[in-house]
Amino acid sequence: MALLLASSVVVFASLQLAPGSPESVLFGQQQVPDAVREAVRARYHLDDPVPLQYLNWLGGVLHGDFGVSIAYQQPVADRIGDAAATTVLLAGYAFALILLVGVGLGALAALRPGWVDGLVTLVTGVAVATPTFVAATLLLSYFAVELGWFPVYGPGTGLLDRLWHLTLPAIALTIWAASFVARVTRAAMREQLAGEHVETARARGLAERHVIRRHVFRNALVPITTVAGLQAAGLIVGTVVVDQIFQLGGLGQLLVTAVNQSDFPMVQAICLLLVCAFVLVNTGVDLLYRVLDPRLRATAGARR
Amino acid sequence: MSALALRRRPFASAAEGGAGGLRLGTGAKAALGVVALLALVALLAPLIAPYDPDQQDLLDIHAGPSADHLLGTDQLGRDILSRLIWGARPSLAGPLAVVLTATAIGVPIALAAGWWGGVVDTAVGRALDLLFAFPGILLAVLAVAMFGSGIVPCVIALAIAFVPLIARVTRSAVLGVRGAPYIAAAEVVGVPTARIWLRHLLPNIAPIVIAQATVAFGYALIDLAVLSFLGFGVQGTTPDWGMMVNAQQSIVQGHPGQAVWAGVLIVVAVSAVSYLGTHLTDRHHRDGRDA
Repeated sequence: MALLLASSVVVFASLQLAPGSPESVLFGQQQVPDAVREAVRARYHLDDPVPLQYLNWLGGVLHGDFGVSIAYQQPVADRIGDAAATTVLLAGYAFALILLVGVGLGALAALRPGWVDGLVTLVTGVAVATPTFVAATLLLSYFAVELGWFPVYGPGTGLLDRLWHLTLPAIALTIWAASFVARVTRAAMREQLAGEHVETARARGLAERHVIRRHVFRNALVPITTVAGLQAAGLIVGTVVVDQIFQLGGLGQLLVTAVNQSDFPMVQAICLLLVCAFVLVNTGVDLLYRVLDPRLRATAGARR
Repeated sequence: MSALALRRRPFASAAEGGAGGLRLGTGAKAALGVVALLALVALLAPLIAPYDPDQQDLLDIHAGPSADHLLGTDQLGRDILSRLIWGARPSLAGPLAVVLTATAIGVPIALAAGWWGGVVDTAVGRALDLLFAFPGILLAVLAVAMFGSGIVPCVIALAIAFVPLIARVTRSAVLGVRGAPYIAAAEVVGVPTARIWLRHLLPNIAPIVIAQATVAFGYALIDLAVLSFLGFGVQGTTPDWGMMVNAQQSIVQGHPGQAVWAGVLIVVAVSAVSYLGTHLTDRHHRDGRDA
């Protein structure tokens, strides 16, 4: 909570420090009568002392009011709503793929030593060094332009069509992150497989499937959760990039446009949203640990 | 623990950490070779690039690979190979600047936090946590919104965002060495703190800090490439790998050449650097256990 408040101060303050006042962005080189300038300054509360401006802004933000976009002359919240929906859909889609592919491949590699393991290690090794924007560009040029299997631009309309448009972007986000998850999953499961408790379970004659599920996978979940949480947080920045490449009209594209237009209220709002999402994901992962590992629950309880 | 610390002579690891005493595995040697080659290409760009990277030939755009243009030409008829060679400069110098700045800020902060502990440590820890809550790219985008596009605001913003990455590792390394007998001995004898830091502390934590900085270099390379790709970083006609990947127009017209090559170079550079970084980190931990 303190972290959120502090980051809101950073986001707000950084744009206060920016050279050039907001109204000069709006007017550009035009000559305007002083009365108009005054009216505009009053409308955006630019004459208030800075701390008051901050409190006003923060108060508005808490009520879902992010101010008025300078470039679009509309409430920022209106523009952000749609874009955020696209971004959340994309991030959710990608995250599902990341878990599915990452944990799946990692488990496969851990349980099938030999060439399967070698192949997975090789592929994920290359993929883990491929930044999302490179992957996205290559996917775009091959599957959308060259083969024409997927749409090149735009978010699509209707849920199915939208998912269809988001598939290639989601895959682009998956490649790097899933490789990371796969490598950690493999290492964590390997470690558990070599453990004495697994040997004991097998010696007791438990079914292999039961051993893998209850004794290997369950224990490997903590490192997997850590890395999956990191990837979920990384997706927040990742969507910005992919959004811009595929022109999906999500928060990322809006942010890049807003920065180029010096639309400060918009930049502030999107940055704050993204940072909040980042902090919330990290907090969520911390909470999840307690669910997964009773030992962490015990120590946390004892401390209290 | 004390036996371990005693046997690690204060200067030994510093000497081993130097380029001369490196005993690297084959993979790490190959990675080091790749990094050295890329650095050499960047340094010698004016000598080895076959063409001026900005020289346009509008009659010969989107040409395929040929004897004249080994990798073909881009949408303005510029030689792609030459642009890739010149592009090595900002693409590698940028992350280097980020990592050096982050280290220059992070190491003293971490030294102070780890050495004095208490209030200093708590305050530094809080500040680093706050900074960590900010994704580096977002900080850079904010910086660009404030100061306009360009490589300088991006590098500065990323350097600040990378401080926690360096500082956390440095702090725990300092804590590890802080209680070592030779440090205590130096303090008892009355060696000035600054001298202990320079002669005894820094040489011992240098290997792990260098390893972490190498890992950070890989991240910085990606982040800067992303920023240039988005149009916030390297500006104008200066070739940069990140910017070259952003050739939407050409890609949609079916000429992904420059984007693919620039992308491949980024992947190669990042994998080499992170392999090296991971190897150095692992080796350090291994050494620590064996000693």
